[in-house]
Amino acid sequence: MDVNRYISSGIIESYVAGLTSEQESKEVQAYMLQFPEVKQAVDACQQDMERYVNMYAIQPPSVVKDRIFAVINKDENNVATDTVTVVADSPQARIYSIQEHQYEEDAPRPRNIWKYIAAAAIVGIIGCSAAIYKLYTDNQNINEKYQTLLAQGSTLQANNDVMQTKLTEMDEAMAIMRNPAMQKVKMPSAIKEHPEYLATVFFNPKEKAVYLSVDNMPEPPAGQQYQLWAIVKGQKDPVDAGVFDMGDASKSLQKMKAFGDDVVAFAVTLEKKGGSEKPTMPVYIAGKAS
Amino acid sequence: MGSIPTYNEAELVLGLKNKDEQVFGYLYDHYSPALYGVILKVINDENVASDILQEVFIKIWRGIDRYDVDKGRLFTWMLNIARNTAIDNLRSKAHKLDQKIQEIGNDVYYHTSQLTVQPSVDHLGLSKVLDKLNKEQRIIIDLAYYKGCTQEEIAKILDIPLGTVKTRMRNAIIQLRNILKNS
Repeated sequence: MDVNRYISSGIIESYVAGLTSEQESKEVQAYMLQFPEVKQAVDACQQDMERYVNMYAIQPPSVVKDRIFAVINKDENNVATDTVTVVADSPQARIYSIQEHQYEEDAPRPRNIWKYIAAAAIVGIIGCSAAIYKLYTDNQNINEKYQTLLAQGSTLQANNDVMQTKLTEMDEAMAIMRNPAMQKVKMPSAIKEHPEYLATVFFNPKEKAVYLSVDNMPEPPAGQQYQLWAIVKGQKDPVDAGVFDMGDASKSLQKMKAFGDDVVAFAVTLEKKGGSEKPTMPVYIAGKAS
Repeated sequence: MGSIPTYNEAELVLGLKNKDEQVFGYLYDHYSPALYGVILKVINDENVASDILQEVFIKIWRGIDRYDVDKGRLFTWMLNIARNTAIDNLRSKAHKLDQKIQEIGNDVYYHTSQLTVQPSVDHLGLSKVLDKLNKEQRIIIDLAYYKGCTQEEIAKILDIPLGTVKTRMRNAIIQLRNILKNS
């Protein structure tokens, strides 16, 4: 296992903050025993949390202490016989041995000091070169890793942006649909061979807002687009309510042209791209406004 | 805590295992404000919090044999008991998700008002830390730690993808660490 990667994944912090599932917690505890680095990271993180928690410390009411002692004293009188085993548990304190200091014995006196200096210098030079080489390769590795991380980071950011936009769209759609003044006009299929065609108009006559939601419509042929029509009281011909797109756009609400409460019904036909002035038959789907 | 402890952690554990009431009293005096603070932050009700504090210390007294030094420090163990007991209490009252959010929001004010009558607390340090920790980072820590929210709940509340909850938590705690180091 890549211990560093594990540590930097956020699992340690989540474990300490109590966010991990039981299984994840067991895993962290197992790794703590196996890898000292993991244990160290958990300890450090627990101490951070302890310090954070301490900042919220508040003196409890003084009666609590008395109440606690009253309970444990009662405890002891009652269970004195049962808990003998616990008390008998011999003190298994871990006695931390005093660090033994080893005193160096007198160093041998150099006979020819230059020999030692030369030897030390050579060792030094070799050591330095090795260190430099290692630093160089390490640096390269780190650089590579950094570049990969950067790339990952920007991908994540991009994904995040996309998600955020989608979420905002959905929120807006929810807000529109929740509006109590909003009328829902279902437009079932008007074509016998395809009874499954369906789209819904969300229509707020008060605010003159019209939105279209595609439930089930086929992709139009190239160069063509669906067009929504409003049948308006007192007008002979259907009125253009705008064209709408399929594909990704059809997954959210599409804003159409504005109409008030004089609309009797909505209908959809297939037109040339950009829409027509008058509807071309047949009507694909249609629904009455209430 | 600030004061010089007269027992180290190993001595505390040993004393508790031997049912030494003096050690337990010391433990109470030194750690009850922190534990009470945790409980209050979860529960927001002083009467209930006092009862839970009592329950927690009795759990510590009776359950010290379950403490495993390999899993972390004694203080962390006690904090977890306090936190879990308080959160269980909170859950049993079937608090809803939106209440959790609201409480987090109110908490800050609640505790600053508490702190003004509790000069023993380093409230300057607290507000300094809270100021530097940005709101989202504080909320993610508090939701997890004090409200016992799951990753899914946090993702929902903060409106972030589930997969980023852990890394956000890491960033929040790293930020917290840096602030604590400098304060």
